Amino acid sequence: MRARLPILSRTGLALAALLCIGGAAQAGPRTGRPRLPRPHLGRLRPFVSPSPPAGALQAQSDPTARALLRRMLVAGNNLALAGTQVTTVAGGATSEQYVLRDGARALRMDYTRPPQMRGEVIVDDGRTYYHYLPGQNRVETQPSQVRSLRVRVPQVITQIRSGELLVQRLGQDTVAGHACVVVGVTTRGGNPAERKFWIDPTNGAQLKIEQDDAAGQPLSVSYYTSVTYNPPLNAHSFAPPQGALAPGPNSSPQPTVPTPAQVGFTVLQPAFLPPGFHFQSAAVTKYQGKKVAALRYVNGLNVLSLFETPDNGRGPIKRYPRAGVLVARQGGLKIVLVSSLGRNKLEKVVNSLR
Amino acid sequence: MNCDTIRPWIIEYGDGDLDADRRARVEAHLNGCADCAQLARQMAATRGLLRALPPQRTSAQFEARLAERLARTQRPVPREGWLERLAASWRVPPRALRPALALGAAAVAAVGIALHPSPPTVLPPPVPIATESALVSQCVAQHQSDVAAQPLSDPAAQNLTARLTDPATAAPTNADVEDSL
Repeated sequence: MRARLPILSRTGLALAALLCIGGAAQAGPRTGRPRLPRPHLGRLRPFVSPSPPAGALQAQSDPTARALLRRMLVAGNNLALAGTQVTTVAGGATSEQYVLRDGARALRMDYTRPPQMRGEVIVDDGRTYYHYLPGQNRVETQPSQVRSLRVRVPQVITQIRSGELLVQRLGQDTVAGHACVVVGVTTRGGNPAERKFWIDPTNGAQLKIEQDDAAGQPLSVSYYTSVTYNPPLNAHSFAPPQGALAPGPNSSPQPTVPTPAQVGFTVLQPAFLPPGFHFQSAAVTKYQGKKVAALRYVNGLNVLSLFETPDNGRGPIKRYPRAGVLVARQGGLKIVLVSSLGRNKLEKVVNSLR
Repeated sequence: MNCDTIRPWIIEYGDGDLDADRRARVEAHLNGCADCAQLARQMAATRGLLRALPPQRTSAQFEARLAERLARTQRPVPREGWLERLAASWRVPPRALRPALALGAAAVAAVGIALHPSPPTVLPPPVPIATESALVSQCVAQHQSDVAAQPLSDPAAQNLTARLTDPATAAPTNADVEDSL
């Protein structure tokens, strides 16, 4: 039997066996919804589970957990899977979607609930991201997201190797009938387990993800209730929704700040960034005919987006129109900063713009 | 601190947007000034009424259409119009009062348009607030899209958050994205 397994599967089983050694004592109940203890129990309580011991992630990363996380990232680029996924976000809203994914080549999500999202379809064919909204009989398009993954996965792997991201094995569990290893990831100096992944060690498939906010409160959880690996795919699997207009070509974001010649103004850049953040890429968009420079800063887990556009208003302003958004005016520019970071950090970033 | 200095801060005080120092100064003033305390109570009551309105579901392009419609209906406001008279009656400098009135007018207009497909033709001119709101919506949508495109993110959660917590949010389309650098 074992001799018939592909080399990759054998390697995965060996890795799984290695990771499970010593983990049995921490093993939680084998259910689709793990129920290990957790210090921060919010509205997501029914879905959240293993939490690391206090300070566990502040220590050095666990090499086997790092290897498994790398395996998950690589599988995200290569593995095909199909299954039903349930997502719950803070506040209790829940969706269910059928996911068909061909690594970082293509993705399709068909929503079955809640009622107001039933019939919505997301198709990302690796060139364009289509979002069909049946209630409005409309298809929105954006640049492909899965294509971005192909570029960004190596960057995250580098961050794991360099120790910018701390990775720990938190336990083991079962999701959608598959034994998983639970891995927690945090930024250096960040909260314990800002993100947790349930990873099938046989192939690196990510079967569950849990996200916390900067204060350590649960933000969201997504998990598969059923999953099939390497499902049959055909030419129509990732066909754009009917009615989608053929979009223009999308160019990949590059790590360069827009020049004055490109946007018509000098783009301000922050002298201060929260620890671990670095510039990732930029884009130029338009808003009501004015150019908007969009700069992205990441730390591997979180994104800080800085938008700048010419503004005719006078005098300084600084306000928070909604959670995680700071609007300011500086140097003839309207600044919009978006991030899940707290207000203090957003203010420090804006105050440091030069 | 006199009333003229404090009153422009009362709006932000009610929104919880003042820093600790200004908040303390406002509270100290409100404790000793019946007029300003009355104004703060009125604003809190107005804010409470607005918040008590049932949420209305709007289309994804609502804010952009509202901004466009407001821009179309914008016309010069007489210097001694009702806005200024109302401002004078509250003894608040007009420039300081305008954001509050604009915010209130925008909220009323938003509710009206959400309830009635054909909104009233005459709307007050809160264009700066409305356009800023639409700009913020576009920026947030783009941010959410960028977050979803990160390797360690949860795209399904991003999409659900975008769709349910802010239905008016629409990610920028290819037509909006002029170029990527």
